[in-house]
Amino acid sequence: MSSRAVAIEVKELRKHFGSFTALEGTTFNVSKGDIFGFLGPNGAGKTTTIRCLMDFIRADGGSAKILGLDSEQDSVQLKRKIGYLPASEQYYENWSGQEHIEFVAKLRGVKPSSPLIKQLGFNPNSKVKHLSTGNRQKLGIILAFLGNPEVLIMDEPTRGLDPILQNQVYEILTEHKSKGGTVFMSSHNLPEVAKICDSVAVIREGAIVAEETIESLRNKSVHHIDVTFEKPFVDHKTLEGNGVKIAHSSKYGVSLRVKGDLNRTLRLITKQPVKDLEVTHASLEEIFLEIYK
Amino acid sequence: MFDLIKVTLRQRRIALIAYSLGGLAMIWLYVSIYPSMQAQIGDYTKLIESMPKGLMKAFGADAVTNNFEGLIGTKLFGFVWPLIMLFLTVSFSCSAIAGEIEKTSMGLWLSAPISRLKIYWSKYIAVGLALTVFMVLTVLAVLPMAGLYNIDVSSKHIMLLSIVAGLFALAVTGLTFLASSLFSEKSRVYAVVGAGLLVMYAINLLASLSDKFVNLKYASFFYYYNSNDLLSGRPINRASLLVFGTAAVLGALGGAIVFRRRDISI
Repeated sequence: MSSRAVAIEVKELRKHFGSFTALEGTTFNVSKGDIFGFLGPNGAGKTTTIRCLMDFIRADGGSAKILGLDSEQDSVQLKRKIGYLPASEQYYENWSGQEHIEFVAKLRGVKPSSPLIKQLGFNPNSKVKHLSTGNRQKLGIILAFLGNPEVLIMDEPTRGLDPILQNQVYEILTEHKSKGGTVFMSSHNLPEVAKICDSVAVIREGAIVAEETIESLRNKSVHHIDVTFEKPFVDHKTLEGNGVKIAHSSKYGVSLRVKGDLNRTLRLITKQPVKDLEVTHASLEEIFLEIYK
Repeated sequence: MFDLIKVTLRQRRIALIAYSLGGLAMIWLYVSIYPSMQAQIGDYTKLIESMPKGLMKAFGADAVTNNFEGLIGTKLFGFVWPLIMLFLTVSFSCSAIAGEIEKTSMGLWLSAPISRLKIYWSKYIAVGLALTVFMVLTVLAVLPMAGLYNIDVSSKHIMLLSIVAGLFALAVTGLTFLASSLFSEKSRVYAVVGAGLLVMYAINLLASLSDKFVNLKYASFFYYYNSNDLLSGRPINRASLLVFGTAAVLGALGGAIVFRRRDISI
């Protein structure tokens, strides 16, 4: 993790809904100026964590601090500094986008205007009930950015957007980061996380199972090795073990999935005359799935 | 705070106009037909008197007088007006909290830098203001409208009715806000409050039909709201003020406490 100041500090957060445990000691930190990806499958506790951060629901134990302020005790003060994009739309269907912008601006005590309206090509005069999924999401992003909040909490910010708009959102988030802002975003979209996030936490069954920088996640060192030998090679089994699995084999070749150090496998392979050899990094998705095993 | 109140009022403005115009139309109806009814009031009184006393008492028609106040006390403010008022109060209070949670638009409010108590009280005040408009247009409006048809109405009686009817409305508002803060679906609030009011109505009916159950009447709001008594010049029953006032305060405060502490999963 980065040694910079902490923007979001979640410590031992616990939340139960009856007998169901939604959060079981969730702990992670988000550095100031980072774009932080919060990953996990449905029901893992992502939205519950976000709701605790926003003080929509109250934790049974632990603490959540944003910019040094307690998310529950200092909720009002804190929300002046937070922009929020929910997973589900929270609009008045009979209002136009502009009416929403004016209402939220009034509540936040900021100007009811945003450069994002033009940047995202959003028509603020249409009533929300007539907006497409993508346009509703654009409105949510515009509302979240009103007043240039220091911290953005976004539940799946690119949901429903086409690839072009997704890229625009990435640019907007990256620009926010470049101005010193912090972004906490949940996502299912691993390429998206890999593309824009600085660090990531993976939540499973209410607990963080991995928290690291994107760089170190990539360096989790899962490789694919595709090798073709000059002569028939039948003794495949000698390559297996110590994190090495055979994905596919033939008379002249073998495909391996190597977790951890590559050297041992490469030494074993090069005992035979090699005709062709290809080593590739596993995708973030594969690494993610590896964590989930 | 003013902006928050304005938004809630704006959400309900069409319904408020509709309810108020409906109430106003009812007053106009009674005011306009009263002169022709006056000629037949003797037959009407005979008809009423021929009915079983218990039944008439149950429907609040036991104190019918031969004047306009007696007519509206029984027909309008004894049955139709409370019904309209209850629909308005329950639907507005229900939409104010549970409705916003159900539609998830409450998220817009909760993610803003305002406290939950401020949200709650702004919505409560908005419903209170809507009720005030409704009261003025459907109760106090009796005075100028009766004046247009040269019908004598005691302004004191109408004022007393306004006070008790207003407190009745506030009591229902308080309890509905409590239910609205407890639940996240409007249907559950309607079910709980509707069932509560129906039970109260049934209790009052039962108590007036059978001496065996006469003491049950004290558990019903409908016992404490007697428009006939108020319009016929009887003094306000202090128990009415106490019961409605207590229910209004406890309901509203209870709702505020619940709303401040509860989880809102939106």
